[in-house]
Amino acid sequence: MRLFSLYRVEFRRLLLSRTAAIAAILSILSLPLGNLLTAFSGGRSMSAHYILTPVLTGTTAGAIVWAVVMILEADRLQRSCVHVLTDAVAPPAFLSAARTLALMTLSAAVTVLTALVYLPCTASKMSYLFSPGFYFANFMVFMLPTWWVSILFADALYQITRRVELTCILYIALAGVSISGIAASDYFMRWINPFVITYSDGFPTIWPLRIGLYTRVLWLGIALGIWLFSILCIRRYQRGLVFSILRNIQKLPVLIPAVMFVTAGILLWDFQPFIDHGPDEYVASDNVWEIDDANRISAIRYSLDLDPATGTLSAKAEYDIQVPCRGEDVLNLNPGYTITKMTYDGENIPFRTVDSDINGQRPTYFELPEQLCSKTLVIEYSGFPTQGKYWSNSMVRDTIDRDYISLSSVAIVPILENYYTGVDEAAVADITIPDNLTPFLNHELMTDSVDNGDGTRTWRARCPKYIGDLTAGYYTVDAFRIGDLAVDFAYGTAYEEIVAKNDIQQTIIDILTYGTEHYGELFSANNNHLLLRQESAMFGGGYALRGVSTWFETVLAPDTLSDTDKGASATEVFIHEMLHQWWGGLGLSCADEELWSSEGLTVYSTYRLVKEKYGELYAQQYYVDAWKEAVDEQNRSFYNRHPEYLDLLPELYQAQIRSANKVINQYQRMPLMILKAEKLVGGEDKMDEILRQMYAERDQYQENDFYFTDFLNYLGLTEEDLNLE
Amino acid sequence: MKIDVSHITMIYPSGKKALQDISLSAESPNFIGVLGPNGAGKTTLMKLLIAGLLPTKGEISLDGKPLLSQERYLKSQLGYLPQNFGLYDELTVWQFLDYMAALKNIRDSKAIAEVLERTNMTALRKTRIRRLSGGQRQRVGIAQALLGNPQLIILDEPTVGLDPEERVKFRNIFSEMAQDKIVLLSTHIVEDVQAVCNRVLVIHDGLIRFDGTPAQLIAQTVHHVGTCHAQPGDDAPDGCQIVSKVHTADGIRSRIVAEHLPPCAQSCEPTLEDAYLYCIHRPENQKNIREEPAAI
Amino acid sequence: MNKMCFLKILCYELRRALMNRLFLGLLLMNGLSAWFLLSYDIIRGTAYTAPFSVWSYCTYLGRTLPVAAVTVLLLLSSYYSKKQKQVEILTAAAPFSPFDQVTIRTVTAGICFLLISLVVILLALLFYMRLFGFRNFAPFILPSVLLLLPCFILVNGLGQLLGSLHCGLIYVLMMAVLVLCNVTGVFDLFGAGYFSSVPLTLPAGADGEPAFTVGAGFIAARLLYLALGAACIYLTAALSARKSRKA
Repeated sequence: MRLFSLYRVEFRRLLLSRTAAIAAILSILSLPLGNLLTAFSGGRSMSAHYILTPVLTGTTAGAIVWAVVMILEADRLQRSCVHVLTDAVAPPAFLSAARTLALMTLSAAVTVLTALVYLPCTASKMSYLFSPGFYFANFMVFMLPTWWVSILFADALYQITRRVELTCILYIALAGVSISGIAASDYFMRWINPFVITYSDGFPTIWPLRIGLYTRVLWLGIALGIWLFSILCIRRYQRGLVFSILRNIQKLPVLIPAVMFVTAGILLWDFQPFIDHGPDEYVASDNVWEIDDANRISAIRYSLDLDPATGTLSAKAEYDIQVPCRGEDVLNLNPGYTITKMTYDGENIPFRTVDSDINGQRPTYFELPEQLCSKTLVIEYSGFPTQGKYWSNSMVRDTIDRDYISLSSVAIVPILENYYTGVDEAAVADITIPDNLTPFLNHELMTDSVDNGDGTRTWRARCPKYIGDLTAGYYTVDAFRIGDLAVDFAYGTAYEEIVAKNDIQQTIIDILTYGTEHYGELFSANNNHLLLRQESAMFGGGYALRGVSTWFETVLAPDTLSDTDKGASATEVFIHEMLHQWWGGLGLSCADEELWSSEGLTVYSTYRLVKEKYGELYAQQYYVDAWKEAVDEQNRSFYNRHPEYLDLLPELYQAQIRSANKVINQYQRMPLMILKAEKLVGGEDKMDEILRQMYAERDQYQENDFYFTDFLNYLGLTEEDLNLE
Repeated sequence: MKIDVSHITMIYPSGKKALQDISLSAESPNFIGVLGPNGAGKTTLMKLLIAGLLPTKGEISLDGKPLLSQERYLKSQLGYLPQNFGLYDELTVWQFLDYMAALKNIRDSKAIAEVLERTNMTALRKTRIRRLSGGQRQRVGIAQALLGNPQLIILDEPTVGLDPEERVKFRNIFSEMAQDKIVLLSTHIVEDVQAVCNRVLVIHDGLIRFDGTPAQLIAQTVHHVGTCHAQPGDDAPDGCQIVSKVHTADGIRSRIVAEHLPPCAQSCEPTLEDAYLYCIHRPENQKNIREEPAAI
Repeated sequence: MNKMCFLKILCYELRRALMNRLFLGLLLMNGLSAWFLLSYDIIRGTAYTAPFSVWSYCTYLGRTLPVAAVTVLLLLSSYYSKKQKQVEILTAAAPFSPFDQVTIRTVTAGICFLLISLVVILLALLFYMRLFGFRNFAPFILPSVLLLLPCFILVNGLGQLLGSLHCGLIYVLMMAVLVLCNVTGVFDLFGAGYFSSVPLTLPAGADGEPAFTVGAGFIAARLLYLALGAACIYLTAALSARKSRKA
């Protein structure tokens, strides 16, 4: 009762406090700053612009503001020497706790108030895309817990140091770790400025909220534990820190809870289920599996039961194995999944999973009896899919939600590495998902389904390869033909109006027509079929494979489509991805070299199409000049001029610089070289002729890729001829 | 050294009139006790004398020359202990006094040892100030005021926080110093004034009500101090100030001060405290009342 | 005032300023942030120049200056705190002129600033030596002085002037310092923006890097800051003298 009555007094006092009022006003007003400081770039969804950015800005700014208030309030008694009076009336520990709890309550009230203040404006701007539940969830998941963590940290630091300046310095250092480059894309270190990639309008996923809530709970635990410990540091009998702790431990039973909370927080961090424990960068695999043609999987059947409520999957995969491999076998599975059972020919077989995550995969080793041929390996597994560490800061690739499902590769089914992955029969997949989602499996629209009557639908498909991806969301699919080519244009239902209004279908026809006219008929279409699918903004980009081209969601964002002076905008990304149908994948399969890749030809082709569509000046400004600027910068870069110094740098920096160089080489330098080649060979028409020939002869390069030297041969030029310097 | 205060009026920016047309003169040696209730203007007078304030009207001169033109000279001869002050907690007693000595341009290192000895702080010279009690901090304040043998010593409530033995000791130190200096002592403790001061200034409402010797102040109060008996619940007689009340078996025996003693009161020998109370409550004390200071 | 006394007071003020946990904490924080800056940013080189070019060095120094400036302001805030004012009741009665007082505070703040800057500079030299084997530090001297001195004089002068008006204004000035980080051009007080943008406008030399030059406008701005800072310091002393007698 004592604590509660003190809490009431403190809360009432805070309600009348001018400092608290100013803090509330500043916190509320800070939300729009995020969008003022970062101009809307067209690369963000409406949800990101109107909800995510303001909430995250308010979260961080408010956290700092409330921390300042907490420090001032904590110091108030000392500053005004009132503590000599209050300590004689109420236990200092209770008073301190009451004060902190009162401030946390006030900050909670301000959070709700902030959400209500901006609700009308946000709802009006986002119109049909607005979801009140999602809107409020952002405030409750990010803003409120972060403010609480900040208040707890500030009070804890003050109680430990008892000095305002030292508290401020330590707090700034703590916040600095979160805000600085150290924590850059780390979901877990960023306690004051939560990390969220973006939001999707058309394919909403609550994965960011899930991990956001998890990290907030984690930090609340740690902050609460430290704060409880700091209560032990409240000075007694005018003695120092150590004496006070020893004295307070005897009187206040908070040490054990403090340790428990901190431990819980650390354990939550260590055992987090969202991101695997692999390296930060993609690791080129050293493993070379010796695959004997005899070691074949003749058939695969798998069934996935997806539970959006928990974001988990439970599945069973059956592999008909003709001849087992000798020795130990290995399969790779998503690190978030657990294999619950593995049988071969009905008998359990032992297996061991190694905690060695690489590139979003975790290996499990097992051994099949060599003498048993043509038997079925059954693997049962379940769990919550993790993101690979190296991509987790730029995309959410594997997620199971009520409104959106995306799974790829080992997040769908285990990949048996020692076995020949081409199967004699198509893999049969049975996938159960919510009945309002449209699924695509391995880039094919699934059509065969059964309504289970419980809000779910089971879809069946047969796929030539079992390794691929599954995407399900609210899609509208428009089918049309361009000559013999059947095109399925799949986009988010939320964008129906925009697609109709901007005549996107015609744009697609223009691109496909251009490609066909300049380079040849599109053979990458799968049986003369091409799927163009809009990818969620959470995916981070687009890609092109046989028969499918995906593109970034915000291509269809209203601001993107209406803003034509942005240069290489998201619309042109769309064009770029589509042109990959010719250059890359199973079009002309280009090798991935330092300078040469499919990107060079694709970027060049995009430039040519854009030049035709928007004019030479536009293309010159946003393509050629931009490439030259990038190449100039690269040439000027110190480490490019002095590669001997590059070797002196730590490996991490070397890798970063080399990686950045490669991107410029492939995306900017090579297109400039191709442009130069165009002039040398005699102009655009001549170049188109050469490209047509290359594309027509692409089959030769299916086994061994198409290299830069091959390209030079077609051009009849040497590398020195294309030298830009 | 001679200080002349001539028709000084001090009005603060808030409009409060702290001093009204006061004049006084002091020449060394002199030990002047300044008495007065809270808000009388004692501290304002002190601050004017140390050139800490500019008077609204009037002039203060030091040795015949305007004080403000000799500020540096004044401060080189000044030892000042204010009522409220701070110390550098992180320094030791010796270090703080060394610091103050440097500020006062005192190069003689023996000066510090001397004041430490005088204020009985030698044993605490290496103790950090933050570890001192309130009384010990007060002694540090006194010590810094005595540094360098200043000719003008102004002490505002110097014995606050000191135990009775220390009070007596410091009274004697001040008295000793006053043999060849001007010492101004502002205090509420009448015994301090009675014991050592040769001159008393009573200030009330910004006016000097009395300026003379303690004996003269007491003499004024003869026949105006008496004792009377009353019962619990009885009001004080009109026009009387009750100095003290003692509850006895026969009722309450009160010591009273009045312009005209009531018939029930028995006249008695006034003390300095009685005289002070009588002085500040006398109805006709609206103007400066000046008695000729006794010659030393 | 006698020189010995002046030095003695200065020693005590330095002792109070340097030998406390706050300053040591700030020094440590400065050092850590400087190291991170070197390791994550300067290592890439500024404006395509070498990480150990004078351009990069000046950019680095310019980026660490705001923290040093805030440290100086924190120190100055202690001179205008309530506690200090209580001690000043005693020290004001001493024949210690406000000009001497301001001078001592300026020198104290200057030494603190210098210490912090030295740590930052030494870290850079160590970084260059260790990582790149670079040892030619002579060209760094003049630019260091050009950056450090005007910054300190101005921040110190403004800090003392504002502090003498109201202690809270020093904290406002701290916020202003953080905002000033983003100013570029010749009036860039800290120089980071200037030195990271000017090389991009200059032609590359024989070694592929633009020769280090400082524009007349930048130097003029430094002189202006010096003059402003000195004026503020003088004004502070004058105001202190006047204020000590105000009711």
